[in-house]
Amino acid sequence: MSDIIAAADQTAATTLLHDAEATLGRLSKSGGGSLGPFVANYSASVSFSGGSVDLIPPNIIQLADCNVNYSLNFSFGIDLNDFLPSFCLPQICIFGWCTPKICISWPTVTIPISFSDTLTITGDFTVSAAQVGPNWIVSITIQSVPLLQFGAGTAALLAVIAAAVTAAVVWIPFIGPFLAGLADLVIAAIGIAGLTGLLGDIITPFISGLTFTLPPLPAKMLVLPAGGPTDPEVDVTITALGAAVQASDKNELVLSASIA
Amino acid sequence: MHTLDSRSLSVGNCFGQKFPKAGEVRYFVSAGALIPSAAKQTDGGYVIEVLPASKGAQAQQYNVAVSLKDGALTVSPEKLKIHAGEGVLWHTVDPAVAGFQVSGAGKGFRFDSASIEDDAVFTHAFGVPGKYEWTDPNGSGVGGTIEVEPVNLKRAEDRDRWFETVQKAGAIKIKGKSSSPASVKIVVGQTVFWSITESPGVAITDGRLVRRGDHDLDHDHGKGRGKHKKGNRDRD
Repeated sequence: MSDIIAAADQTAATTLLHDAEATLGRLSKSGGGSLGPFVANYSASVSFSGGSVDLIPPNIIQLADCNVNYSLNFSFGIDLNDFLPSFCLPQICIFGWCTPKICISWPTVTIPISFSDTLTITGDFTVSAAQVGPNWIVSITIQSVPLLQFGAGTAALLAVIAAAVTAAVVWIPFIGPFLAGLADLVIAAIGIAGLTGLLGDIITPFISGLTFTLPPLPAKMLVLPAGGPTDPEVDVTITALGAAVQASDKNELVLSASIA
Repeated sequence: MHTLDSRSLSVGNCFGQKFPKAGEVRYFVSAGALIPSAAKQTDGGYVIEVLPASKGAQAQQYNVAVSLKDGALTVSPEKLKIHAGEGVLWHTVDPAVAGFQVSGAGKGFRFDSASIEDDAVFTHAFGVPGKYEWTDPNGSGVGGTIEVEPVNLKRAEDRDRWFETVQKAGAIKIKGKSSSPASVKIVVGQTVFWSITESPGVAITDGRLVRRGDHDLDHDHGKGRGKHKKGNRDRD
């Protein structure tokens, strides 16, 4: 039998979770991944916001429509010879001189991309409690990575890549006549699958193992302050803390504490 | 780099020089203008052996390719044997060559792509559209405008037409301190030839590369009113 029981309904649990999202803040990582046939190096940051909580007994907290706000900076290299036809300056003769035929070797260019977007996820979380040092920590941890649907963000990112390709190569001598189809060729090579593959590789680690923590609960709590030299303070110590979703007329997130 | 500058030749540029008299000509290829006068050097570089003109034979042109090997500029072929009246044309197909200058000297003869004097040609293939005000940083006063139109190949016939167009060159003659025509209009990919004769030593340079005040930019095309300055190299 627990000594103290605290309960939060879905509305209160939603508020607690939004606070936990804010506390989690912005997470960052960098690395490399495949962007279709290209290799991309990226740095990314992600924050979580919004969503609503649905409490499902015995121990599931479903978070619906949580916003995953992400910002990406990535770059990838393109060997333009893979996309452009070979072009040679022809031999031209005038004034008694002839220029040699000179074939142009297209360079490899780096395409820098900056992109921010938001996607929504719905996932099942489990709740648990553990004592960490002087505090009890209640954690809400995602069970599995939900399906990431990038949707309109993918189309927007394709447009950003197309614009970046054009901007990155426009300075290259003799490329002008071939520029019209270049961005389309690069986009086609990447494809939707290549793009969602990279986005998935970048975003998934932020969501895998995602854990929100509620404000820490001190294991030792003051009940009555000291009244004098012969009247010491009175404390209670939480010796065990359980967290679960319990069924009732309106399901509740229940914390059950045993004290000494 | 793909700039209009005969002092720094890169892919798409050529410099040709005719050799009027027999004798040994030693020349040097350098990444910049900071080399001693070719006329003062008796070692190193490359040698062109100019034989007396052969009567009745048609004058030939010899092409020399410049490339970068182990961080140094090299030429191919390294040795040349030509006849008086024939020409040598230097160029590069190596994109690693950021720019080179060629200068040489023999008995009573010298040449320099940064100070072109006589019986020489400089060519530049224009790869980026825009309006180019070319000028002579050595101050002869010659100059002009090259207008390079963009090309957008949307259909196969556009490409065919463009390939035909790039086989035609723009032509500018510099004689002494005059140049003509004052303006040339071309499309991206076309080459312009500058033929130089009897010049005090000009370089062909995009005006944007020349600091205002380095010379008289207010040239009067065809009249050569600009004040010619001696180049910054040792020209003995």
